[in-house]
Amino acid sequence: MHIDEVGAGRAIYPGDAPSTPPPKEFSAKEEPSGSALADSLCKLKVPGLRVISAPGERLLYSRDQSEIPRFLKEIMFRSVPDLVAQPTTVEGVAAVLKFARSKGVTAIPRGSGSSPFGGSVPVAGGLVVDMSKMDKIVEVDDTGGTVTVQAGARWADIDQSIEKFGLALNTTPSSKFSTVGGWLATGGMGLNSFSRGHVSASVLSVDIVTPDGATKTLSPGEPGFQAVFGSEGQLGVVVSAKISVRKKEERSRPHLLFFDGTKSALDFAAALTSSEVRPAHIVYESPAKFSYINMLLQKDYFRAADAIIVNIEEAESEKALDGFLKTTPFTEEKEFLARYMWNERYFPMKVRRFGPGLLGSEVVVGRDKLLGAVTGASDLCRMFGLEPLFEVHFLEDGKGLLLCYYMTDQGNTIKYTMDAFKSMLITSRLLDLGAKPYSIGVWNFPFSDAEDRARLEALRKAKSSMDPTGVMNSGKYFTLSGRFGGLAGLAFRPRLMRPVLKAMVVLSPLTSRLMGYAYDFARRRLSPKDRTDLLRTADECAMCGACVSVCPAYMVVRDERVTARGKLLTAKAMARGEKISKEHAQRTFLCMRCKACEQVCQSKLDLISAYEILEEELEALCGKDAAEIEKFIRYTENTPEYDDLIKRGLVLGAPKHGMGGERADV
Amino acid sequence: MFERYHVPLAPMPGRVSPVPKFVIVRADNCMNCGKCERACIYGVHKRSEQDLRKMADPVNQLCKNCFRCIEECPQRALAMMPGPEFRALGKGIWTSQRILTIWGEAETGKIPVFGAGYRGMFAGPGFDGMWTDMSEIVRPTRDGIHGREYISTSADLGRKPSLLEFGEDGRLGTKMPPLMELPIPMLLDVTRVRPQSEQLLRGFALATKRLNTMIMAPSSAMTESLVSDLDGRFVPVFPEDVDADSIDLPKDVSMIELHFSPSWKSNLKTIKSRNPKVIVSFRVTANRDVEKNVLDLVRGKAEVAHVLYDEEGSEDEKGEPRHAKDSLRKIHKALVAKSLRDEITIIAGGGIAAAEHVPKSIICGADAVALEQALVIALECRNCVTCSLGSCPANLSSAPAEWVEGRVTNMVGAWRDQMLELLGAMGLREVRRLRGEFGRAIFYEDVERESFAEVRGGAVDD
Repeated sequence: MHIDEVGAGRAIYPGDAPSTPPPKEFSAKEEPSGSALADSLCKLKVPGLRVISAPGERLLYSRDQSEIPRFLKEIMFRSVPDLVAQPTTVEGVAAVLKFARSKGVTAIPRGSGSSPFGGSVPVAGGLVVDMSKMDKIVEVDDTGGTVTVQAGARWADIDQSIEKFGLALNTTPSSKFSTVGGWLATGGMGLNSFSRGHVSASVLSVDIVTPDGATKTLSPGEPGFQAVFGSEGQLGVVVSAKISVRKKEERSRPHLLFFDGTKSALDFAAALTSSEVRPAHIVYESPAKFSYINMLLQKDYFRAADAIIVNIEEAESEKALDGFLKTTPFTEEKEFLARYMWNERYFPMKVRRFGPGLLGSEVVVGRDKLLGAVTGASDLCRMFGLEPLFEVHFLEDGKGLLLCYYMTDQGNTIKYTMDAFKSMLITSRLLDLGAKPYSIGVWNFPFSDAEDRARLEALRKAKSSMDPTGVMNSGKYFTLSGRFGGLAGLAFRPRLMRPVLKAMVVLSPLTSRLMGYAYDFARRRLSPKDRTDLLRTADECAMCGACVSVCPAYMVVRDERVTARGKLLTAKAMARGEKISKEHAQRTFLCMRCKACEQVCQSKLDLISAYEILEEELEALCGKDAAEIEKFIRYTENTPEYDDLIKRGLVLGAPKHGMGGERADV
Repeated sequence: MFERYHVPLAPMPGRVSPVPKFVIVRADNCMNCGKCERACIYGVHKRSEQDLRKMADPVNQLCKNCFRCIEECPQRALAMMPGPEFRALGKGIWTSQRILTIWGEAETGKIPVFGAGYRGMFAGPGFDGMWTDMSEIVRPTRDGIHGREYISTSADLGRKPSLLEFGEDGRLGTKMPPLMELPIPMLLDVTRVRPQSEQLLRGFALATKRLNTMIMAPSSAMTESLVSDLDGRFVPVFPEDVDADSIDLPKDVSMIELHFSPSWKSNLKTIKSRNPKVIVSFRVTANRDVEKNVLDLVRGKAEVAHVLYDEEGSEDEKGEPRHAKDSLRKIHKALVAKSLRDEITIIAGGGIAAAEHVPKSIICGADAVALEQALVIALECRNCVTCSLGSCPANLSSAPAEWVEGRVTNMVGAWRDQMLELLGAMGLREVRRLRGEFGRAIFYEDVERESFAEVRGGAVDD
């Protein structure tokens, strides 16, 4: 008897394949927009463009990594954008910018929103251009040693995808899940800056879309090229960049040395920078860091002392370091300790959970002023009753990128607000001691006059040629807009605010006493009475955005509310008593439970348990659309992109189960 | 009108949770990606019904050990191990695999793909050291052999005179002894089976009726209503020290069993004088004298010899007891040598642990086999020893009779189907022809001798 191959009857095994084919498309239910601006942008029908107009989702774009109390921010600024556009193509970006220009709306480019300075946050509404979906790694040229990427690509993803060609990035930011565009436009200093210099040295060309819709390709030496770095979105939207990469180092051996006193440590570092050792990177860590790490590890592995971490990549410099150390009285710590600390370089936010909350200041200091800056800021912090952590990343010219941060409790609004203000005082003090601000954004605006004049002038010139109408991120950097006809911005004016800050620093004994009273009041009256586990987790979240880049749900839904960061923000919004719309609640359920977010979370948060609690609350509030969840799962698990994610191990550094490197395809 | 024998089969699911042969362990790093769900064609992996975003626990008993999920898991989160519960199943020849096979047969009534070379051993002690030609290919032929041809699985019980005598008037002079035909060469024997309860016994009786075979049980075990219900299919087994004079047989009994005791001849005479139509079977414990004893029985005109082996299929001997396959062959040969083979029916009981053991016993010279332990195994018994302690993982004491009936019927049905396949493969039309056909099988020791006797200078043990 002949049996047809197809349609021979029911499957032999009842479990064979889902009975219905997976859905071909999925789109989560959107909230009604009700905004004319959104409707007119939608009408343009730009391919691949997602227009975000729902209030719940727009709220996500009103903040970045920093945790500014909402009431404070809302008094001064209108930080919620009027509209968010999420383009996927260069043409899409051009269309959005042209639209913004025609409507006279400010366009604010945004990467992963992992800077704390507010560069990607609106101050007077506007249109946020969310670049996180333009994240393709366009081309890897392994012979030429270059990689071409879209601006929304994350550094971690680039590093991973070029690794199989035996290549590595020259420098990376310590928040490795930030985007290419974001880092180029803000800092550009980070890991390996000591041996490889500023990121601009590794960029071969950068494509930038200007408000007139044109795409400009800028190469080193061309006018405007240097201005792009640190431009904070003033010139246009960076859409792609060609970056030179190096051969991946064959070895990497970090060394850890402890010193008695900051001076001794910094002197050692200075001597090392001018020696012939030529390390790949040098970092200074203050004693407090090790106290916290010991607390995290629940064992006193490290001495709580000033430390220098030196990473060596070449055999020759290894020898040179050996020789160098012999000329000094210092001995290095055991290798595993050094490796542990070196591995921590990507997870500076881990200690945040002890607050929960972390605030600080970030400046660039010349080599001879470094010690003075550290001790000066340290003294000021102590006067304010803060326990500061210092971290210095040495740059190629001996300068240091100085990070000064301290724990705070962001659950206590008053204390937190004061602590946030203190960070401005600290920055002010550091600038007095000869430092330069690292990034301007919103919160460092009072210090913008401390920026290098020539740089500012170059940027101004570039802006007048690329963005003559002032569409790009207007109301920031050169001026600061805000509510009450710019009154808030006026208060932040360097000429007004700096003297005030300076005076407060000078009068810091008095300032700190006054603040002390307020503190006491805050502790007694306003400390949260009961903080649930969920809220605690939300407060511990560093908002670094690592989870966004690995989230398969975000890949499909393109709404950050499905990611860990978004969900924790939802939890916070609920705690504030904000109304959560039904559609908003449903987004929270769209999750693959892949735990990728837990894998990348540098705060090592117990996210899945947090989701369960949040979902329970939301289900009680708004119910649960089981059909939508099912459709979402069946759709997602059958998309090729999801397969790709899984093949990659879903997450950078996901365990391969100790089975060695047999997965050649990864 | 002729009615073709047919065992009606219907699925009879188990009552206790199944024992998985393989256990899949899902580690914590599972990321619920659902790849295993799409990889597994047996339905081991499913998303959880309560929360579709998470994977449910693997349904281990469906696993066929194909390793596909383990291969495909991107997180290397899956691992497989032999089920610890499975490995603890059974003892001796009642291996965990055989027990699982019987459970499957009793549940579905279908033929499993299992036998020598087909995930079974190629050689081993007892019946494992024996291949029937193509016998272990117990896979079903494409449309089932009994769809195409008629093969008889009938067995005769009773004595067949070697010659007939006719009187001067041309009439048959020989007094024909009673003869019975069973549609299958399998009888049920619960005399030696341990767990006993009324429901179990009733279930076995119902199965006997459905199968149209006979059930042997202690004479006092069955209630009157059951006996009358069984309608002559009940074979009372009388104790060894019974006084034959005191035996008062119910009317519709067609066969009884007595023990092979010193007074067997007089007992036989007593019974026969009162009930000439009743077939009298003697239970003979197999030992090194079993050939002689069976010869005695034939000469004393006993009609059936029920040779009893132990649970492992061995004789009751200290030292090195012979296995049924050797013992039965010796008996058969002895009878054939004296030209007496058809004058007695030989039933072999004990150590029948798989479908293939039935035809193998028959090849070695038995006319039929008595199923004992297998009947209880079909009821999810694990052949452990806890029943003596009063606890049973299969909870046999609460098994309803209808369930027992279904399970036993399914198992016997599956075993018969396998016999049909085997007969079909051999080209035989009836199982009676298979009896004593040693040439239909290859015995391991013969092969070894033939292959290596020369090589080793004839030093292979005979």
